Amino acid sequence: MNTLSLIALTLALPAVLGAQSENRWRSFDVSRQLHDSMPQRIKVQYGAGRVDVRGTDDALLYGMHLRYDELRASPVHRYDAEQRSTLLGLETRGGIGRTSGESESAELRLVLPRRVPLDLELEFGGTEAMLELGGLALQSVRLECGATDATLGFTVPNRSHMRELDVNVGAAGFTALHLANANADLIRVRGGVGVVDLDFSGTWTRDLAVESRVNIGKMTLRVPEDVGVRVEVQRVAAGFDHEGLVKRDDAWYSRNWDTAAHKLRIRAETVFGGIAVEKSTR
Amino acid sequence: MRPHLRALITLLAALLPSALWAQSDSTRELSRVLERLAKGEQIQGLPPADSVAPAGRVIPAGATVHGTVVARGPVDVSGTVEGSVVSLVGDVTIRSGGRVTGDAVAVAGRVVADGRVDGEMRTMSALPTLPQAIAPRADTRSALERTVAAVQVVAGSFGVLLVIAIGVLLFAGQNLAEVVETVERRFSRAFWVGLAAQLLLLPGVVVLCIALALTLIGILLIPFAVVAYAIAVAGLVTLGFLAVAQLIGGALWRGRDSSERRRAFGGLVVGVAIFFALWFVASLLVWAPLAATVVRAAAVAATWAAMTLGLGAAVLSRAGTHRRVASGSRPVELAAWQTPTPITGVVAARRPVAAAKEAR
Repeated sequence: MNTLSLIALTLALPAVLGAQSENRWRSFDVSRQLHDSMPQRIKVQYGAGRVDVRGTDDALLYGMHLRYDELRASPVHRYDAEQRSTLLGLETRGGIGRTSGESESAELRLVLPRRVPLDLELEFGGTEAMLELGGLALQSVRLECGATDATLGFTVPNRSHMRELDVNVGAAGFTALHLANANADLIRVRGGVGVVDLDFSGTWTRDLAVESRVNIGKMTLRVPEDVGVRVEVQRVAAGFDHEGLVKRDDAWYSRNWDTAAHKLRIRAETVFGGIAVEKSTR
Repeated sequence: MRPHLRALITLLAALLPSALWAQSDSTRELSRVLERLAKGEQIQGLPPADSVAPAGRVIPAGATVHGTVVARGPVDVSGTVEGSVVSLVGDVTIRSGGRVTGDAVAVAGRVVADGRVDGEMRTMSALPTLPQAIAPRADTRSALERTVAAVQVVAGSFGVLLVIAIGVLLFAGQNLAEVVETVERRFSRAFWVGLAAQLLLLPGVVVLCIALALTLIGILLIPFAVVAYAIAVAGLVTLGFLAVAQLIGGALWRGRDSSERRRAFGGLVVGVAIFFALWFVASLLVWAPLAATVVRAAAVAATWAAMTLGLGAAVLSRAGTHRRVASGSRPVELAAWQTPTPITGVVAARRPVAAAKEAR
């Protein structure tokens, strides 16, 4: 047998072995037709892998695509018509570890209806999450992430008035874009260790209050120039970049605070790291 | 035949059996699923079947079918199904005006719905082969099977530790000897240091993370630092445990006529075997849970004591790199840097004599 044949056999071996391991991987799609536009509560639980959530104009209450390792997890899709609530995602099997390589192959893609008022709860573990929630009719959003690299965006305004946007991230890099489009009264961001970047561009329709706490890491708040800003800072061993802000009493104010059409009140806390407030364009 | 053509044929020949096997395997699986559904059995991931078709099925407009329809092939619904529709290896098509009151499920196919589906629309690449329930299942193995499994686990662990022991003896024999000497000479202190080290393990990693986080850029290094910390601790514990095992084993197996390396190896094997003997007895008593628990508790206690003692000795001797700590004396090389050495006068008269004692 010559060298080329040996190389060919070597190349074939992983394919033969891979055919066996590939059998563990399943793809699963589940959706439900939308028969009315009454408010719904949707909860999504997902361990590790890639996550993509966005809106759809199709007549669906939800549409979920999963790729998962059958040995480690099984799909969850429970709909309660009476409670008008849905639980979606993956349930991991106890006691089985996971390697990062396998997590990279796993994915969840979820589409949600734009015409139905939603209370949305998202719980992710070690994921790479891209959440484009613009154009949905969100009444409340609770996002809980573990070790996550997550981006939350509202490229177009939320169709409903949001009571609260609650974000809780563990060891993560978290970016929120166009937060003014969230149309929320209160945004609460809590972070353990990592970098949090909050961008308040978008269409301002109401004043906004933000409570943010990052224990260890850096938090950057990007605010449009025409929005009045009031910042209360509590820090232990952290820096505060307050360029363009003036101190009055116990808080820092932007110069246009008294004249601005819309106001952003920020209460920021950090233990180790830094807080920066930067001006941006809409 | 040209070499590259021969290589290509070899590659294809190697891949063909696995491809054919995978194909025939899924065909057999689907046949089994249909048979079980026809018998009225419940298949995970599928609703219970009321009618099973060996090929595709069409429900024309105006027709109503009661109960769940399962077909091996495409299902075309223009009428009404009062139940669910399942297609194995085919599409489920609900045409405009058609209705399914239950779920529409396609295995290795698609669901195309222009009509109404009251339930869920699901497509899956294959049927689930593992139980969906996450709850732990009861152990249904016989006592003999459980005993054999437990003995295998202990034997496997013993084998792994022996391999590690050989590696340590070959590549870090000096360090191991130093830790053994530290255990021997500073027994009590090593134990208390080991205990303190265990208590400080968690605060240590927290302090490390905070220190890295303070530098901001170091935040990125935290995961690596935690892993490195865990590896270092595991290494110290293993080295220490092996040292204690060698000390005990060496006391029982002296191997008078053997070389020093052989004696060290023999002592290590006997020592590790002594610690594993308790675990082995516990695994043999799996059929008697109370006795097994008592022996296992003794094994845990003995192993913990050895690990604590060994960890303390490894810390005291800095993983066996700090020579002469075992003897309690100050290393010569540490005193040697204190130059210039006073030769005459009052300073010379008061000069510490550690180095001189070492020389003697």
